[in-house]
This record gives sequence, C-alpha cells and structure tokens, in this order.
Amino acid sequence: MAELLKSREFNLAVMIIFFCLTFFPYFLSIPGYDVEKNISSKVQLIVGLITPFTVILAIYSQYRRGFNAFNKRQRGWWLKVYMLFCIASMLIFYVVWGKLSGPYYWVTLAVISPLSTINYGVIFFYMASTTARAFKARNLKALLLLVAGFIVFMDQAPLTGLYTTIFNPVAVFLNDTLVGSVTRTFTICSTIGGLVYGVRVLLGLETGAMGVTEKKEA
Amino acid sequence: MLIYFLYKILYIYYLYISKHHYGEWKMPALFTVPGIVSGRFLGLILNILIFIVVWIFIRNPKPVHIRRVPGLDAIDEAVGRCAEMGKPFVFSPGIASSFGYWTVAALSVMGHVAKLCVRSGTRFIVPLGGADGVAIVREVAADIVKSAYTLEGRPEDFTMDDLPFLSGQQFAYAGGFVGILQRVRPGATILLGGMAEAMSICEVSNAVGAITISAGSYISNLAVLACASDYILIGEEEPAAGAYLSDNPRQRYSIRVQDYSKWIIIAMVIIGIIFVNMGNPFFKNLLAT
Repeated sequence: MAELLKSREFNLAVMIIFFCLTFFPYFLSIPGYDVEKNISSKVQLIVGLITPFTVILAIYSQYRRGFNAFNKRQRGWWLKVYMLFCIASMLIFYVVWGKLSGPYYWVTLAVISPLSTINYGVIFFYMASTTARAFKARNLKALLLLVAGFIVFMDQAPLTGLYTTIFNPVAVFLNDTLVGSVTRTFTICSTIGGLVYGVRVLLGLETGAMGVTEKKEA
Repeated sequence: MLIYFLYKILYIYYLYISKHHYGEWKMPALFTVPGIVSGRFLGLILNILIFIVVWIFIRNPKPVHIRRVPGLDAIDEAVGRCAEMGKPFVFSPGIASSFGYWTVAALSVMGHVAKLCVRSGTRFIVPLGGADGVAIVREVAADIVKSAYTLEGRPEDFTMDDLPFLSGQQFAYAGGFVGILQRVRPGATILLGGMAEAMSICEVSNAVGAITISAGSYISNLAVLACASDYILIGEEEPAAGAYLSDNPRQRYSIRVQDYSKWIIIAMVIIGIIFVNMGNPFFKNLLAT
C-alpha cells in the first residue's frame, strides 16, 4: 500500500484529478457548481488540518536539534538551552493559564517582542551593508540604476522628500512608468514559466513535486 | 538645456497623472461563449494552446540552444567549491507559505543539487520552515534527498538531522537559518522558492564567505536579492531551472515554448499600444473576453 501511495503514477493521477477539478470549473460555467466554494475550500480545509502538525513538528525538531547541540556542546549551545526553556515556559503557561493569561503575555512582551525588534534592527544594518556593495557603478547600466535609485530614495525618504521636491516628478515617473512596466514584465514572464512548468509536471516530466529524484535517462 | 527640457516633460507628465486617476480597468467582453464564464474565454484558449504546444514539443524533441543562465551554471561550481573546501552546501526551497509552483520548482532544482552533493561527498543541509503547506514540503523534500542518496548508492548516509524544521514563523525561520549558516559556515547557499527575510539570510551567507545563489519570487524581493547575492535567477528562470539542469532533451526543448509565448505577448503589447493610442477599444475588449 505504501509503495502504491508513493508511486509516481499514483501521485500523478491524484495531481491530474485535482487539476481537472479546479481548472475546468474555473473556466466553464457549470450550473450549481462554485469552484471557490467546493474544491478550493475543501483543499484549503485539508491544508488547514495539516497546519497544526507544523507546530508539533517545529517543537519536536527544535528540541531534537537543541539536545544534539547541547550534547555536542556546539557553538552557541547555551542559546539553544535558553530557547528551549522559553518554548517550554510558553507551552506550560498556555496549557495551565491560557493564552490570555499574564505569564503568557509576559513571555510575549519580554522575550518575543524584543527579539523581533532586534531582528528589524539587524535588517537595517544588513540593508546598509548591501547598499554599500550596490553603490559601485562599474558600468553605464549600473550608473543609471544608481542614479535612478538615488532619485527615488531622495523622494521617498521622509525628510529628504520634504526638502528636495525637485526630485518628485522624476521619482513619480520612475515609479509609475518604469517600475510599473518592469513589474508587469516580471509577472508575465513568471506566469508563462509557471504555465509551462505546470504542463511538464502534469505530463510527469518534473518529478520534484512528487518527491522523486529523476533517474538519468539511458 | 537638454536636462531642463527633460525635466519639464516629466513635470508635465507628473501634472497629468496627478489629475487623472487610473480608474477601474473593466471592459466589456467582445463576445461571450455559451458554457464558458464571461471574461475567461481567452484565458482558457491560451492555457489550452500552451498545453498543446508543450505537449507537441515534448513528443518531438530537437537539439536546442538555450540561453546560458549564469545562476544555474554556477551551481556545479558551487558544489565543486564545497567539495574542495570540505564545507557543507545549504539549500532552501523557501519558506513555503503555500505549496505553490515556486516551491515545487525549487524542489525540482533541489533534486539535481542533492545528487551532485551526494556524488561529491558534500554534506547537504536543507533548512525547512514556513506556514500552511510546509508539513507537506518537508516530507517531499526529505523524499527527494533520500532518493538522491539511494540513487548514488549511499542510502546509509542520509540523515533527517540535515533537514531541520525551523519554524512556521518567518522571523524564527530566518533566525534559525542564519544560526545554521554561522555554525556550519557553508561553501555555498542556494535560496529558491518564496523567501522571507531574504536580506538577513543572504547577507549572513555573504559574510561567512559562501557563494550565494538566489531567486526572487516577487518583485520587491528581487532588488534586495540582486544586491546581496552572487547570482540571481529572475522571473521564469526558476520554473525553467529543473528542465535547464536536466539531461532530458524533452524537458529542455519545452523551454522554447516560453520564448515563443513571450514573443506572442510582446506582439500583443505592441498591438495593444497601437489600438489604445488610436482610441479603439477593440483590443481591450478582446482581452476582456
């Protein structure tokens, strides 16, 4: 049975059935059949049922990795211990006192929120370092990109935008015309790529979706 | 003088668009076909057309020249670098907020990279995380890596410890990912699929000296990844990557359909511009059919 469920043909058949159930009703008007209320909602329900497992999976995985790190005394093992302690506290507070309790809120406000804020702060520094690397106009195209970026930046940054209104028309032009067309080009190319990829999957050529690594053809 | 002139043109344009709202782009259909939902006829035809053309191309493959994609060509180099330096290879199929085609395409590439890594004796690490569809992605990813080890005759080397599940939350996922990069100091990192906190991951990857190859699944991420990565896959390059890397001529030939489709789209854009500027709503109505 397990072999059958994992077989390429079975997975492909399931995929084709679900494709037909969602694809054709989207385009064809079938009286009394609403694709969004029938198939899509049912598939979403299945995914929704699977989602709680991710929480269990995450806790299991973190504890397994944490204990491994602790046993091997890997670099930063004490951070792992702190993290596992926080997970355990949150679980206990949630189970014993509930989500609206003081202790649970305390962990949220005293541990999670500051760490999230630090994350944003770190991203700011990363952005600065990436920008520093990007500020190297090695050729004409890069120079144009840099100038365009500078104009948009000067217009959109709160303080500079107020005092350098001269950049506003150019920045609006760049945003509305160039960025708009580039976004549409990206979307069109991605959609075409996705369509062709989808056909390859349905024809059984792309086996990645089924968890199978393709053997080299003779 | 020229700069002043250009500035004036842009200023007039600015005044024009600030006065004119774009409005809702909703046109009446040119015609309706019984049995087909109004406004979806052309989409259905295009979908069927692409399906048929890909099917024909796959059935009759011909040797085809495919434009080189530096990001995909660099994968072999990245695996080789890891093998030479004795460092692990980190691959992410994305945060998988849904089991969309970006994630599936990333898994196709992962199969190829996993085989290369196993063949060269490189440790292959796949940090996993995300939201809704991630429990499924994890199982699929594990199967792909496991079958790569089996195909290369080393099933005993496969361990689930190299496919850690980090979190369903993007910050926690990024934190865990960055932690792995700091600890294992990989020789190369590939970020495909839908990525969250790509900036943090790419920058740390860069800081630890790893070759970074990434793909932007949405336009806002693209600029960040382009700056922070060594190589980037843009637009349809990621969905086409599986076929590009494959030795299968049928898959490779199907990529040509994308090029032909793009030519058709370009032609449609030009025709559309002409019609709109002539004040004729025919083309808009046709697209709304």
